[in-house]
Amino acid sequence: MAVVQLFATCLVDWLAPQVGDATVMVLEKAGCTVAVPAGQTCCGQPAYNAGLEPQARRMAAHTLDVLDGTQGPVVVPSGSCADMLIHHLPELMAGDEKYEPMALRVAARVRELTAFLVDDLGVHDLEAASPGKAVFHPSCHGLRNLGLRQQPLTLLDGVEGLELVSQEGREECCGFGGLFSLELPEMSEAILNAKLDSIEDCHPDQLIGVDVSCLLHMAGGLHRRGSAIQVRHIAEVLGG
Amino acid sequence: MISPVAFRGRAAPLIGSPQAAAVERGTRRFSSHRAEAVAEYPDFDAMRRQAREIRLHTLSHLGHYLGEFAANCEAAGGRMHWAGDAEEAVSIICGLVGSRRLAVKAKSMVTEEIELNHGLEAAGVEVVETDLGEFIAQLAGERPSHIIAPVLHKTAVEIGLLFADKLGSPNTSDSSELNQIARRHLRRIFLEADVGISGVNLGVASTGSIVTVTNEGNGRLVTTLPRVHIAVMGMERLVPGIAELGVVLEVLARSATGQRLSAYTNLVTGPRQPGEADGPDELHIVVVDNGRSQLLGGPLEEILACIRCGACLNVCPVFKQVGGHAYGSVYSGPVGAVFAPAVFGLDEHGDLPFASTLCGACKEVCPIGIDIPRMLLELRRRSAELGIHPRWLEFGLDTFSRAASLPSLWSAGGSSLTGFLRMRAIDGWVESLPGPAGDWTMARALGAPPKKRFQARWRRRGKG
Amino acid sequence: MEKAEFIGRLPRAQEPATAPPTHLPRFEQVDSIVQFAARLRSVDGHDHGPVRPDQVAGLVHDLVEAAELEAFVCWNDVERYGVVARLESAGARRVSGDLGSDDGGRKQRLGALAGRVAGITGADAGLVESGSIVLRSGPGRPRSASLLAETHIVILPVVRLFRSLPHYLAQHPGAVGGISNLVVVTGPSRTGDIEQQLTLGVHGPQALHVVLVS
Repeated sequence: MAVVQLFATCLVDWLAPQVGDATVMVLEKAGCTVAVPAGQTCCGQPAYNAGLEPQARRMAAHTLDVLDGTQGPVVVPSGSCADMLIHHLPELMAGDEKYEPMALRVAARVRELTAFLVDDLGVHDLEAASPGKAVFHPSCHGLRNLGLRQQPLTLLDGVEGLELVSQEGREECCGFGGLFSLELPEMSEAILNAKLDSIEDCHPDQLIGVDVSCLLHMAGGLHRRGSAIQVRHIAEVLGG
Repeated sequence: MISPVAFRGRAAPLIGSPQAAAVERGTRRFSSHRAEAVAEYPDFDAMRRQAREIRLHTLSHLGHYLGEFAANCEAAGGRMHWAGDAEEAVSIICGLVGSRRLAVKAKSMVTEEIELNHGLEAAGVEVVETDLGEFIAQLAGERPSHIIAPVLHKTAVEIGLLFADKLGSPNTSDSSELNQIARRHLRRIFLEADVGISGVNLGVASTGSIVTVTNEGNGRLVTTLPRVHIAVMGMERLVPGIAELGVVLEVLARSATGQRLSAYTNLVTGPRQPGEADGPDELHIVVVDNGRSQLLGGPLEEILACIRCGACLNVCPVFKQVGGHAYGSVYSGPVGAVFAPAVFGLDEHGDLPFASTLCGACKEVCPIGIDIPRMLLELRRRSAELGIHPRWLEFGLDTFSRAASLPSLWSAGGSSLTGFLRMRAIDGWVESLPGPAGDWTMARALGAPPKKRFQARWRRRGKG
Repeated sequence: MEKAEFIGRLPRAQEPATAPPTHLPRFEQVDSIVQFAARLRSVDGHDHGPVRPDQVAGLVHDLVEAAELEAFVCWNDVERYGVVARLESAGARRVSGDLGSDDGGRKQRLGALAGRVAGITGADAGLVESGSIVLRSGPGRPRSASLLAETHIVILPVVRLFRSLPHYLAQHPGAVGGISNLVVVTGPSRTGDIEQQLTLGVHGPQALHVVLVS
């Protein structure tokens, strides 16, 4: 089986390393050989979304230096970072003699994890088990910019014992928004609360998502509510 | 120069207020009606693609179509006026109103934008808003809070008290009684008014017609009863012809309120024609630029394709929490967060492009498919170049970006930051952080990071 | 600003332009009359008939009487159904919709039209998809008949049913030529401005009746 390059993302690397482990496990279950390109850091999205272009370009250039020399698909366990690599890096590097071609080459190889499993490998069932009731949160960038609507649901459908229920307004934003969560915290919290209300109304055992960023934000909110709902990245569910 | 956190100051006090709850209910309802209308339609996306193509084509040939529109309007007996900015528009309109003392107005964003009422009142003209919502907002001395539902933020009880106070009507909170009170009051004014002032939803270049889309009928009364009708039109509001108009109308009401068509889709072509029983004797169309033309041909041109349905407001997680007043601009919500800074400048509205999570729900429902997130990012870039961010943020992200391009620094920095977080954690959760990071923990806790980062675990696995 | 200056500043102002082709929406086959009536009801309008032409006057009279209106304004078009004679013989008073040209008289005539009056009009088209009617102004066709009247009664021959607004406009590209007003009416006047409670008759007619004529 061909080698896949795992771009773990900075949040997974530092704040949720168990998601990185689980992603490796899932990819291996699907028959891939996983490589983790050394020196990977951050794709540049925080600066890009803040409008700080020179800083974003600096990070993007580093990421391209790390990834362009590798072979095979670049798998990212985050819709948002995958969107950044696929759509925004080529934009950011437009007109740059060295980095524009690199950005285009890398963009063509980048896949979000669930899209890679379902669309590229045709995997539907990873023989995972996770008993209990769960709700799924599709993070916005993956959902709307990469069209990840069915893929995660298909994979969760194959998980033994998992009862997936749909919360009201499932496709609505959780209020994270990167920089937004720091610059407009009250607003971010209000959106989060609306989201958590609809999740708690379903009385699930777990909340499953595809982006660690939104999940950290929602887990922090659930913790404040004293909720027992477990928050898990889809890789953790599929790896189990 | 405005700080990107200025929005925070306006929005925070509104969060959780009864007004915000009313906005939340209202927007949810609009959205579900829209979804039903779209689902019923055989191929709504195909109509949206056509509508988009039509509007973008018109913008890229706007000079041509404005010329054609003007010629056809004049051929039908209308008179055209051209205003470069708000001040010129107000002065043209005041000149047209002349010595007439009472004007009735139909709902119009562009007249709000140029603060026409203020100008007319200063010239001694009494201006009465006749859209029920706008009428209520005017009585209350407030700005409208939603493009198509101006008093979405007000309760019936509040409106009953307002009517009792200002109109001397018996106090009631029954919406149909309130409606009848307003109908009777406004009917008298309609019959007395000397001038009717309306906006324009769409202008048709091939016929010189102007189209107003309303549900109440006030748009028709304003454009039919008074002897003089003045229509104020943003310069970008055209479609090439009648067939194109049909396509755009097909998506407009469905996106706005979920109606197949609004109650009155009204096309006016010139003043009362020879032999006709009624209609105004004079029709004046005032075309307003006021900052719009500078967007033509640039990356923000697309925002001018907006047909003002308000669908993006109704799905925006930020708008839904607070309504339009938080935006400090006539144009609110996602479209306002692009339109206001793009047209009126970042100096005044530079905070708005940051009042978004970039979730993309706006683009998803837009009947024209306007790429609002792309333009929010473009405006963020321009703002950042102007040094709009708080210093801690720019410094923080700059340091972050330098570290991220130097793996050894990244490792050291990441280790000490996560170590710091672990130190502050109690039972695995960080509940408070110092400095600006305290804004994170103010809103939610942060799970303490595990001791070993992923890449370290991976390397260890490789060795084992 | 002068027009030439205003337009001259814009990019490509002198270039000619050709609009992209438009495509009509494709709806499922339906029974036009049944669908029109259902859609009209869904916007709180009332459908009647289809009736034969000679039954129109009686039906209109019943509607005016039921609404307890003693005056009416109407389009000249509807005289052919004997509506005017029938109403006048029942004691209803016809009010002229012509505003004349003097300013003082205009307001007075408007006042007479804005009372408890029925407005009776023909229609240029009915739109099946939305339950709408299309009204074109013209001599003998006052706009106020569908606007100031308390109850609006429309006489619509079923041969004038079109599938949707784009279909009607595509087949009548000259629909707005030579007249000052074309209005597409979809149900009676309505508002949801107060707490999104639907209320009928805020400014325009409070009731809309469409009499279909076979």
